[in-house]
Amino acid sequence: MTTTNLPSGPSAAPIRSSRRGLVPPGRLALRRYVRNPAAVAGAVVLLVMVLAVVFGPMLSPYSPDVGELITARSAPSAAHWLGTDAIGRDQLARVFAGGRVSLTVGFLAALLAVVVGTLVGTLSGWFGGVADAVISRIIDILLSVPPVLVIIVFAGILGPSVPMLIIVFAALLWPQSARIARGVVLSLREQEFVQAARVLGSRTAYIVVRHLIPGVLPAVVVAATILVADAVLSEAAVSFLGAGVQPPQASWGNMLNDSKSITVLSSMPWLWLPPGIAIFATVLSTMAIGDGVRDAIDTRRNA
Amino acid sequence: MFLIIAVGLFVLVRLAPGDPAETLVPIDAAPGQREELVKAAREQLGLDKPVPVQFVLWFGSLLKGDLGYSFSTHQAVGQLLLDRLGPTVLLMGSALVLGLLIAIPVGIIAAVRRDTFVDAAAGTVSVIALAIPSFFLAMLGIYVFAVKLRVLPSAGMYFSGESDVGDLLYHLILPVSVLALAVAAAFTRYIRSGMLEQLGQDYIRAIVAKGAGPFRATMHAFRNSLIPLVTVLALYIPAFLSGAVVVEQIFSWPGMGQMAVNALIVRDYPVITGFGLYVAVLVLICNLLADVLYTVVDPRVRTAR
Amino acid sequence: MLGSADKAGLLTNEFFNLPNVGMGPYTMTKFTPDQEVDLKKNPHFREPVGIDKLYLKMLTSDVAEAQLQTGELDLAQVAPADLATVQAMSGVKVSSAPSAGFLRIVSNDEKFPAAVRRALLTAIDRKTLIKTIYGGKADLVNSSFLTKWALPSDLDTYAFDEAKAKSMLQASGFDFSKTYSFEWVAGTADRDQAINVILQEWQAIGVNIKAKQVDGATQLADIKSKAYDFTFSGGGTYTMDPATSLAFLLTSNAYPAGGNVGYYSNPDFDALASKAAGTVAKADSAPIWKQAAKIENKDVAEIWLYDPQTVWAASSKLQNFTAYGDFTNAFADAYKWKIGG
Repeated sequence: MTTTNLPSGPSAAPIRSSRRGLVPPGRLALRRYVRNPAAVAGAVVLLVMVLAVVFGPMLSPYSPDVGELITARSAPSAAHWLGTDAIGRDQLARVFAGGRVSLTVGFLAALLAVVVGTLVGTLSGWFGGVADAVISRIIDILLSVPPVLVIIVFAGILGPSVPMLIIVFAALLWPQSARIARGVVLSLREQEFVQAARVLGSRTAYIVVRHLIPGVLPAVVVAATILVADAVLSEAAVSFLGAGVQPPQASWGNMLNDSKSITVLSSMPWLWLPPGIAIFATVLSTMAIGDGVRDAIDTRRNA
Repeated sequence: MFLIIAVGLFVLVRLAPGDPAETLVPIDAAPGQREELVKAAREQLGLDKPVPVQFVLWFGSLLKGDLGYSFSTHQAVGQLLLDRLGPTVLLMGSALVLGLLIAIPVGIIAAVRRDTFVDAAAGTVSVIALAIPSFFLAMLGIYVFAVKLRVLPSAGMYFSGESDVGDLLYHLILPVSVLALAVAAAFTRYIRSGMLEQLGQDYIRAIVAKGAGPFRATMHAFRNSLIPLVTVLALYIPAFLSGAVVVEQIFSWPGMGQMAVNALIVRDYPVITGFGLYVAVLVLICNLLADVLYTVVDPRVRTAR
Repeated sequence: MLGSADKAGLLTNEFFNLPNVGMGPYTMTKFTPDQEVDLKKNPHFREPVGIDKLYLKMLTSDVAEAQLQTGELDLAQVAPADLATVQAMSGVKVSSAPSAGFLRIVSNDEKFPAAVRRALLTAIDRKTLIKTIYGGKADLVNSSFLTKWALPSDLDTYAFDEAKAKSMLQASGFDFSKTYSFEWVAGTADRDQAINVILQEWQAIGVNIKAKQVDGATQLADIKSKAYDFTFSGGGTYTMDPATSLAFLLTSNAYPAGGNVGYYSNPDFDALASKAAGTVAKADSAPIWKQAAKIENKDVAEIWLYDPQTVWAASSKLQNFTAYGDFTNAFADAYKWKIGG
């Protein structure tokens, strides 16, 4: 960094030239990502969590859904490493099992939402005119439906379930990334390099893939990491209304929700710390990954 | 447009299983004759008519500005919404403004001083704030500040029997802080990312090369980073003014969110549709404003409308 | 969070149904929905009223407990799980009284005959539930009548016995191949926990059962269409007279005509209960009630669990407070309350 503390330009030039010929952009991005310690740490933490959640239940001697009532709310011990919950279920087994649900809901919903949102938003912003007006209206309508109402209605019709949560969250979250993508494209399509491409006779598909999507991605990737956090946290909030993950199945959200009492908060940290830390670590590492990916694919940035 | 939303809401609300007349009559009321009571309630609420007829009647009065009456409390829905609007705007508005007041300077500084300690600290704090569920933060806040330290009131708008402004502000501190923290965290990230995007552009280099000071260059970049920010704000405001069910519940704040969820549970159709229309109108207004603002903050944008 | 039983408190809809809002010791001065009701003393009440102004607040029980500790509240209804915490607070007295209703599982009796219900009840370890979830503050119930004089002494207690329950269920012709659902309105911690335990216990004897959280309106819709298998019910006011329980027991009160949501139907019981209800003198009706209770106990009309006590925590400043279990009576002698020391 120079004394002005603004990113200095010239050093970006060699990378641009290398991008055209020497190193494939994908590998270059990967190289940039690996040099970012926070992003690497995020990826490692997330990987560890995914592995724990996938293999943990196989190693745990306890069922996450069945407990011994006699041992309810006992503190961590050799038998129960993270103690037991209000009805005597092994807390560690529940953290593993809950993670499967929470991570699945969070990532699938966010992924679905971002893919749909980016495509729709980019095309809508690029084409403008009638298509844009219609899509914008659809987005407006979707956004104007209160999410809680939608979730309760769907829970009533389809029955509350994990796939239902994923689809409803995705349906509620995609307009957000679509709006962001559209806003960026509106600005991008007036810029010189895009106009130049258009004047030079590039096909629309080429412009969208080559210029618009890369331009939109940084903003959308940041939004996506927030969407993962949103979905994981929404799952917790929805379990408030009984429309979330159904008991006895655990999720980090409903475990945390079960802990909202003064007694638990003040004297039983083993009930709220593990799911709390798990949610926290998930959101934290996703965001670090998001930042890393954004910086890595942002070609204007020097390595 | 308005008609589509109205029809959509009307149908959606009625898709949910359950009959409001059934929920209104207590289950052990008048053993043996309960069915007649339910039937009478249904007639009184106009639910015995076919759904299209119900819609025409409802939409007709809607055009006259009449949102109907609550099934359960018999209050006018318009008045019900107005009663909740004040506390909601107060709570959510303060949280939004406070959050932005924190996020804008922090986001800009984090972007300008990229990869320094300030940036890392801002990033860490905002991520931590985003990673804690609001209901849990609220509970922790009550536990720490109301129960342990005893410096803030735990819930409600006023102390019992009081109604002065100082008291209200005192009660606002905890819920507003919880909500504002989430706003500040999200917007710091948006603003930082928008600023970085702009700071990397050629025109900034040109300005700097022409001899502009860092402050002017930053202001240029900030102005141009407003586009995505306006988009996000246009999404945020309606959601925010629809109330925060969980935080309202915990802090016993009489806002929109609680009203809507309670109405939903007893299938109070007029209140639910009234609330839905309120949100729809908010979304439409904010979108229009956003589109207007796009052209203000970035003259290059030719709006499609 | 939405179950009113979890809202501590001081405020429930039942309160507004009471005539004492107008004629009682206090009159209402202000009502803020979802927040509070302000009351002031009624100067025309038959007795002098001890407290000038009374505020009823709608709070979650967690916040209510916090406010009790900070002194913002003088009286709160406490969740069973927090009993120990509240008891440990200084300056807070905890008292409790049995509520006037009881918690039970309502089975769809058209699908599940008495033999199945007996087996399912035997599979539930109610004593341990009371001990762990309610801190001992609940009483076992083995009849839908809560009036002591109407109950015979030799009711079957359906003591917990997993092995016995399993063989009973196998002998009852129960269809083990089907998946059954248990629907209830979630949001009250003690109920949610108890239901989770009961589902485990039923699964242990081979019942293929799934939890389904619903809201009140959906629950009623499923009851009306008879689509439900099991649901959960609580509350009510049944201590005054055994006849009050008939609202959910008589064939003629089958939903939607009345509150018999489990569709319990036994002509012998109907005949006896109607006869008892029509008999004025308690001495004459008691033996008939006992006969009816015996039938109902054998049929397991509802899968009774227990009568949880209503636990009140009062600051020691509040004097002359007596705990009542049911809301109809909770404020019956509120005029005697005083704030002191």
